[in-house]
Amino acid sequence: MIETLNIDPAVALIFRLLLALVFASAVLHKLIAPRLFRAAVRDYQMLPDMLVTPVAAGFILMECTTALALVVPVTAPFGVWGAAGLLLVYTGAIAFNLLRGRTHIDCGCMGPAHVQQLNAWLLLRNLPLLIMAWAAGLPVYDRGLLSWDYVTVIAAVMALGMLYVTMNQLLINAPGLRALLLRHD
Amino acid sequence: MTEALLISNLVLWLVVLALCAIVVALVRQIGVLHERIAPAGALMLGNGPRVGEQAPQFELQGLGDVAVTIGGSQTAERSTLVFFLSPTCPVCKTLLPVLESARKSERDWLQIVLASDGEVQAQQRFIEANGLAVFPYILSAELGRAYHVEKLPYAILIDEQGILRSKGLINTREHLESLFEAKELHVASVQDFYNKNREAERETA
Repeated sequence: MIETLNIDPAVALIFRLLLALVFASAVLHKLIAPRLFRAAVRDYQMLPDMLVTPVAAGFILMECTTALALVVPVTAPFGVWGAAGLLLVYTGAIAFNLLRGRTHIDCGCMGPAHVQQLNAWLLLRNLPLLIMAWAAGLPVYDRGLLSWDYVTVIAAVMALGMLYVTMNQLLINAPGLRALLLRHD
Repeated sequence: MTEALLISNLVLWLVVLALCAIVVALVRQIGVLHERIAPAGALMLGNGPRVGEQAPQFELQGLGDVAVTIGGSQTAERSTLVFFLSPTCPVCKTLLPVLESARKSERDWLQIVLASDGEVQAQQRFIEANGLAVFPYILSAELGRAYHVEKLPYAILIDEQGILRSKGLINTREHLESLFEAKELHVASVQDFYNKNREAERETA
C-alpha cells in the first residue's frame, strides 16, 4: 500500500497563514481601487460585460472569506480549497490571455499604484502559492505544537511574506529595466 | 545542548528576517530609481505637426453632438489639451483620475478634450463606466493620424492662439504636468529643455 503524504502541523500552519496574508493584502488593494479591479476583470475579456461587476465583487468577497477561513483552525480546510480555487482561476485566466496574445492588459494583481502587464513570470509567481495551497491541505502528522513551533511559524511567515513582496517588486521593476537596456543598445 | 540549539535557531531567524527586510528595501529603492531615470517628461514620438507651429484645424463632432474645434487660427478663450486614449488601454485608465483633477484645477486656462476612435458603443460604455461625460469626447481616426499618435496614452497641448505648444506620450501624472511646464517654459519637450540647458552650459564654459 502506498503511504499517504503527510505534512508537519507547523509547516501547514506557516503555509496557511502566508496564504491568508497574501489574500488579505489582495483584498485591501482591490477595496482601495474597486474601479481599477473591475476594469482589469473586463480587460481579461472572458466574461460578458453585464457579468463583470458581479464577478469582480464575487472575487473580492471570495478572497476575503478565504483569508479569514485560512486563519481559523476549524474552517481551515475550506480556506485551503478556496485559496487553491482562486489561484487556479487567476493563473488560468492569465495563461489563457497570454496564449491569446493579449499581453498589453493590466494583470490587476499589484494594486492600484502599479500597472503590471501580463507576462509568463506571473505564472511562476503563482506556482509556489499553488504548491503551498496543495501542501496545506495534506493530512497533518499527529503531534502537538510546542511553544517553540510558534516562534518558527511567526518568523517563517514574516520571512516568506517579505520574499513575496520582493518577488512582486521585481516583477514591477522588470519593464523599467528592459527600457533601460533597450535605450543603451 | 538543546538550549544552545534553540538560541542558535532564534539568532538565525532574526538574521533571516533582517536580511529579508533589507532585500525588500533594496528592491523598492531599485523601483524608485527606475521610475526616476525613465524618460523624465512626456516622450515625443514620431513626426506630425511640430511644436511652435500652427496646429491644423479640425472641426469635429463629439459624442452627444458637441461641436469641438481643435487647432486653427481663431483665438480661443482657453488652451486645449487633447488626450488620446482608448477603452482597451490600461495605462489610460490609471490616468483618468489625474485628468479629472487637472480639469478642475486648471479650468481657468485649460479645456481638456478626450479623443479616441473605434466602435461607438464600446466608447459609450467606457464613458459611463468611468464617469467621463464631463469631458468633450471625440471619435476621430483622422485626428490621431494627423498627429502621428502611435502609442497611447498620448496628449497634445494647443494654446489660445492655436499654436501647438507641446505633445508627447503620457504615462504618469508627472508626464502630463511636464506638458504644462513645457508650455510655460516655451520649450517643445523635456528632451528639448535638457538640450537647451546643455547648449547654454557649453556657451558659458
